[in-house]
Amino acid sequence: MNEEPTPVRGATRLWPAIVYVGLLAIGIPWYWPSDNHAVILGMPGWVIIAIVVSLGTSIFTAWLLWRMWPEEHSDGRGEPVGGETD
Amino acid sequence: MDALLPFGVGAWIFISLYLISLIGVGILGKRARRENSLSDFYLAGSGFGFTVLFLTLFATQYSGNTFFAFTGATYRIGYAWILSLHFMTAVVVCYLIYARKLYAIARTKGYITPSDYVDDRYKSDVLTIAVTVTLIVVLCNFLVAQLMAMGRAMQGLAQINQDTAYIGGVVVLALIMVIYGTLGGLRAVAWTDAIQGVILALGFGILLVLLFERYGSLDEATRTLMERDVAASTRMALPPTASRYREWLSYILTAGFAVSLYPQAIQRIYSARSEMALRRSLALMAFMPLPTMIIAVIAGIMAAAYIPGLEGAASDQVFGRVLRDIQEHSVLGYGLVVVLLSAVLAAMMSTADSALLSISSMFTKDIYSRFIRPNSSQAHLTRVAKACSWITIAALVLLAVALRNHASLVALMDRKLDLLIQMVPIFMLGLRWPGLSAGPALAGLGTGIFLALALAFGGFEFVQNGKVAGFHPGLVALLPNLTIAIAGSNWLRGRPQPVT
Repeated sequence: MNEEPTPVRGATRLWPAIVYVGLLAIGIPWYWPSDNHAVILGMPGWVIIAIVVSLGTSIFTAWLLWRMWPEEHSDGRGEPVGGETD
Repeated sequence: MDALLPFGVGAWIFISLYLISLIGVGILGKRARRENSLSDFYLAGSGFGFTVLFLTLFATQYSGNTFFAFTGATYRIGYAWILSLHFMTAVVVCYLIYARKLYAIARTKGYITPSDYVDDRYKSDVLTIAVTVTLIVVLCNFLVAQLMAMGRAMQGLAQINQDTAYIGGVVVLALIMVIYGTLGGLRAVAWTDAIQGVILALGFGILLVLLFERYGSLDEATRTLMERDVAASTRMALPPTASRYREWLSYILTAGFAVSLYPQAIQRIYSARSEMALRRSLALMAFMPLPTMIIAVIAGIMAAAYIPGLEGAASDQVFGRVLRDIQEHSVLGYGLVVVLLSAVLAAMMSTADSALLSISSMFTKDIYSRFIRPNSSQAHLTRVAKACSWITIAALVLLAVALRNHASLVALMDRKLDLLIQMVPIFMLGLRWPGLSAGPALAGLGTGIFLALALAFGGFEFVQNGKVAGFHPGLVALLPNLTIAIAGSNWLRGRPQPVT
């Protein structure tokens, strides 16, 4: 990586976790009406919701792997065990 | 899998050639060895690039269970098992918490086993031994389950006495596994994983084609189940109940955290050639639950719609019934089932060989070289590692044979995820928070393991179907584990809160 690592600290590091909690809340289709018998692409509608959210989670995870990791120290040399010391 | 049609000579030649080729890979792995050291034997000199790393992660994570247990689970509870898609994705999400950081430190410090990190991070022999012993117990449990699955698969394939087929299957497949594993170490295991990963992916693709060709459209199967749901008040295709949704949440959290901490997964992180290779492999792994889990669920749904009536243990064998249906349907189907069953054997072996290598590495590195003969040479340790693999597999084969008619005993043993999730504070929190101390981490681990086992086996009225209000005992026990680890560390350091 040519870019300088950007320090990301505290609450700003939490936003991916918040996105995952949101995906979890949508991906478990607890809100789907129990009497809804819709079939989409051969599967019940609530299953399609779960699949689409899972795809979204995979895309978000892959994006994080590309986007976020380089922002931490790139080679890890000399990094203290247990994260940053304080 | 006792419903398959007898295999012909051609099918047996195909399966035998595949198995023999694995030993050939072991020999190649031995020739590629760079030095006679534990690092080379267990981590292949940390030289895996993207392709091998991805395929070995894939083959290790997706076992024979993906075909058998997941199809069986869908057969029993219907579309609600689509939750498997979420929890297999959650495993990759949980890698995000610790993989990159652990990889960077492991490269600098030369870790070989998960316990190397624990020892380096916490400087506590007691905690290191506790983690090592727990992980070895979990992996032995895991390996016995895989060996038993191999035996049961062979019962279905061979048209001989069932006991002979089971014992023969376990012994022969375990022998092949330990031969290529001790010849080439992780290099051979990962290369065979790569072959097995390709066969596994091929198997899933073939299965999907065969399912539609045999049973027709998914739409029709879904509507059949919906009509049955309305008539019988079941929930095979209709939305699940609230308690089932609680189980979803529990499975996602428990499997996500626990499976990502399997020692063989951690050692694959160590073995990456570069951070880029690791990142790319994990990024692709994030998408693998989609094809694999959806196909397993479709197989279960087709079986539920068109082969109804199986209950209890027979429902776990529904995948075999699906294969028999496909075999009988056409000559092409027969041939493809042979490839598919090779994929099933591949899936079981690739998962089991990784567990065996991890057990051997932890015994040799974390127990033998630390406490029994501390100043041993690398060559001596490598010999011990190989001997350990042979002794371990011999003991576990005997156990798998002894337990062959005691499925309930195996179910009692099947608490590996409940134990493994108790490692979350030590690995995930410990990497992120320097304030976590050895004593509280050990106390939390002990409490978590005790509570998880007590809840699972205590016979409490509030524990139903092995779960507390729909949640896994291990997940419930993780809360006091984390609380003790964090509060104890803060109390020891006199600090009000962790720094992130």
